[in-house]
Amino acid sequence: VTDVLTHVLVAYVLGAGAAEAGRLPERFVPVVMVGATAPDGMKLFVLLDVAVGTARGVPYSAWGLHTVGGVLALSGIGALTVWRGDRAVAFGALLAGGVSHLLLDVLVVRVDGVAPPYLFPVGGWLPPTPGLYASSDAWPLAVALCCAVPVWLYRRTDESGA
Amino acid sequence: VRERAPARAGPSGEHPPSGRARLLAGLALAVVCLGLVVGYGLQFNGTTAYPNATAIDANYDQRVGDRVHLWTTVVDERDGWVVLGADRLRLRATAPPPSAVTPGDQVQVLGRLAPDRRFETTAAHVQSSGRVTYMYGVSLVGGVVAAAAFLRRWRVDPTGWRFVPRESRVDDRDTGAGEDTGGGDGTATGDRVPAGDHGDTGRTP
Repeated sequence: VTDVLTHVLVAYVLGAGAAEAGRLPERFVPVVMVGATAPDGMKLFVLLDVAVGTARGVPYSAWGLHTVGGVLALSGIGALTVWRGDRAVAFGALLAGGVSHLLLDVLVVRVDGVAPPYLFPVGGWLPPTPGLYASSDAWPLAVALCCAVPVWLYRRTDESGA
Repeated sequence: VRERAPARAGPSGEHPPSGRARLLAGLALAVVCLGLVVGYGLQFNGTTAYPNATAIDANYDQRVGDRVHLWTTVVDERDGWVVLGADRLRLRATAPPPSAVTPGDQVQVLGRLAPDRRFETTAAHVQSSGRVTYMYGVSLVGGVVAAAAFLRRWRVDPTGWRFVPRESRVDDRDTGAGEDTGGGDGTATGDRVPAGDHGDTGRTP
């Protein structure tokens, strides 16, 4: 639960790195960025205060989408929105972005020392967390900017020089 | 040709047959999402991962002595105690001290439920309401950045209800004719569309 901009910038750096290495076509770099926003789509329910509860006796939690299973399903839905020829790569790019999001969120401060069961639906393991930052800390964003801006500038000059 | 580019999809291309398959796949994945939401609730609501403040409130006396981790909001400061709220549950906490927080701040606490709705805090982490507002504001910027970056490379193809690349040669990768990396040839001409993409709409002269 870092701010979304940090997630997007980290995903950009990852996607740009893959593109520079010739492993990912350029057009999928922003797809990785979109994938990195996906787990936080459920924050809308948090804002509306309806993320966790019981409906007709059935307990539910929108946090179920902020998991590996949620990232897989949402990446699948996202991949269906692009034309067929790019679907497989789009799925991989969305998935990579979503997984990077969950990895960053494992590092968020939890006073009980464990992160939520992000591997759901695979077991109920609570990963230990070093508690590096809170979602409202500004320094992760500063670090992400310090990485993303030089990469962006480098790629921009590279592009115009080509 | 193994795979049709959207340019040639046309009426006999991807849709309607695989359009229906796509819709079904989308619906199936939506059901999976719903399953994840319910499955997660069944497995974790009320556990140490997601304690149920309302349930604690309803059976407080039975829960005295339990070690719990709660996400709370500062609702009041009274007689040297800070009052934390989560749903309808109200607790007078031994920490943080009232001087360290103001009403509206979000406090993550770990501790023990004590008699008389006291909370013996062993660890607490405070996020001021201003910082939380900052987090949501910056997050909104993040969403806009991702959407803008995406739409710079992709556009909506209204005839197929899908996104297609803005690059003029979407089939570079399929034919192996180009690497499509770092060349930048597709970016400066962001408005170029795949040739003949609207061939089946009759709008092309």
